[in-house]
Amino acid sequence: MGSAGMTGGSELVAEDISVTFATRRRDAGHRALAGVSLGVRPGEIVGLVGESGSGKSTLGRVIVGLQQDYTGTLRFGGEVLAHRRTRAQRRAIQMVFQDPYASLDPQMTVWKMLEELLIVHGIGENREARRARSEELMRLVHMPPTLLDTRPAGMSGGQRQRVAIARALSVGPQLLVADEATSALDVSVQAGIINLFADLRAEIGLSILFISHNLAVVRSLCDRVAVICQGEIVEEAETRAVFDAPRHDYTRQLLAAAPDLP
Amino acid sequence: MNGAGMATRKTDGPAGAGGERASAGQAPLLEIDRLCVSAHINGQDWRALENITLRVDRGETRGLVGESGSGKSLTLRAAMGLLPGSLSVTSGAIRFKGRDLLADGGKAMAAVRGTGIAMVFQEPAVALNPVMRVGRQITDSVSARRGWGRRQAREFAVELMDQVGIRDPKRWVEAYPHQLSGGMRQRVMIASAIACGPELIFCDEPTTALDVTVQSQILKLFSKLQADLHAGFLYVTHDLSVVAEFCSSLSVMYAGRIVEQSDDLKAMVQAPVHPYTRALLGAVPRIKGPIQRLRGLSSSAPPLTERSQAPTAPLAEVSPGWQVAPASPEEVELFETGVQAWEAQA
Repeated sequence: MGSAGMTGGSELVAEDISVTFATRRRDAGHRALAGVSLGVRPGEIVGLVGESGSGKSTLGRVIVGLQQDYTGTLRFGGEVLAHRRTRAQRRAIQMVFQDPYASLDPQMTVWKMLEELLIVHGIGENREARRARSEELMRLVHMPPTLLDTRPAGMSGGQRQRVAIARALSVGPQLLVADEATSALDVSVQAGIINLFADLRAEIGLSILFISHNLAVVRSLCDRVAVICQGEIVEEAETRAVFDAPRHDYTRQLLAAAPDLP
Repeated sequence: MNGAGMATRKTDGPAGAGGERASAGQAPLLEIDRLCVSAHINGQDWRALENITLRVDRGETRGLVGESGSGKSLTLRAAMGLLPGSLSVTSGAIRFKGRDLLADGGKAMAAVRGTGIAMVFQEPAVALNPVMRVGRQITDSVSARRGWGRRQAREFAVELMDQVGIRDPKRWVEAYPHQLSGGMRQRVMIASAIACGPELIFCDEPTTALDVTVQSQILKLFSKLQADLHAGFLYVTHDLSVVAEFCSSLSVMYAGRIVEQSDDLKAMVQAPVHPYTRALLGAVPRIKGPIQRLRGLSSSAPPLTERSQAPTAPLAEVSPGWQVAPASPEEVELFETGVQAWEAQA
């Protein structure tokens, strides 16, 4: 039933999402998200910018299914995503985290990491097929397939993040949620990863929700931008509109604070 | 020749490559002269810093920029006398107002630390003592030097906290670091750095851990202090946009050496000469102007043990106050093609 809807591009629609974290005091708790709505169309790259504590990561976690305690509705390709998702639904939306040093097992070769996932998800009928698929994934993230048999320990931060992206892509997602995926990287390496995201959209039609605190990075990659502040989206528009003619005070404040080259 | 009033020793060959401004009569505030630092790894010596030559004058704000492994923080640590045990200065000099800080086994360094040179670190949450009230941390060094009592120190702490833009300082002077926000903690650290009235302030990524709006406030505070104190700043960061916002001059490091530096940051950023500087600037995403595909590099710098051990040629002057390191054909190739060459293997 669900798998048919997972082929071809699917649109993500998040409607009126709220998340409240319990606090130790006997009050209403901390409201991390207050009725947020956001959509990501097939093949679109949407930026979600905000400062620490704005709720941007919480929204990402709700969309991927890591934060199951929320109210509101999530739809993907027309289907409502229940709090417990089907395997196909879980595969369709994958996540890349900030720190490629923490998110990869240093003891495992890249091939073992990828093969494990392919086996769990029943992708590739035998070892050869899985190996071929892994090599294809490496090419997709612009890594030499020869690195499949190495461990992340000997890799640079940029290479590790590429491996993390290959892992997320291994189960064939349509939407990638990237949470500060370039923030821990050097500028020149960050540029390579930003270009990779743009290429992945062009090559396999991947949709991306790109969560970041860095306005300049968001501007260079995203088609559309949502600005989030204290659990609410205060402005959402085409990237150019947000940067050239911001309408909300908070957006203007953020833009004025962002440093830029002369 | 060099050093009128202040310089009392060290007359042997001052200011080699960076000597173009030495004729000004007064010794520069900070002069790092052909500094080389070695790392001892598995019984072998590796060059971690190679002929670092730079200077900071009174009232100057110099940015020292590079990616991981470039040696920017190491340069700062060496200048502060805070090198870890496995690293040592093999040659070169670090002069503060003409006085060699590496002479007499670090005593000269200890004498200027705090009063002459102060440092602001990246992580105020780590650098501050969690169990000491912030007011006392700010004035600890001054009180010790001037023999102040508690009342006097507290008054001065309130004054300094006010100066660094902490609203209602009387309320916060008795607080502990965990009670403050990240931005306030950084202001506390800046207050303690300026407590002894330093002439030179070293900054090591002081805004990297902060939100953009807070970062912009801290940068404004630095500009204000620079105007008030007329201190020199050596500002280390990986973020070129931040440096462009605050600094007037710029040095760019790559793999343990300076590849390009200029007294005029704007001119250099707009027309970089060294292929690495060009690649680095091409990788920086912008807030304004046309949106272009960024340039990237496969990795920021080779590890220490894989670097060329051949001695490097000195920087060449392209125009007064603007020096560039010569680049080998391989380096030109690497930086011009960037990721593309590396991707081609895939």
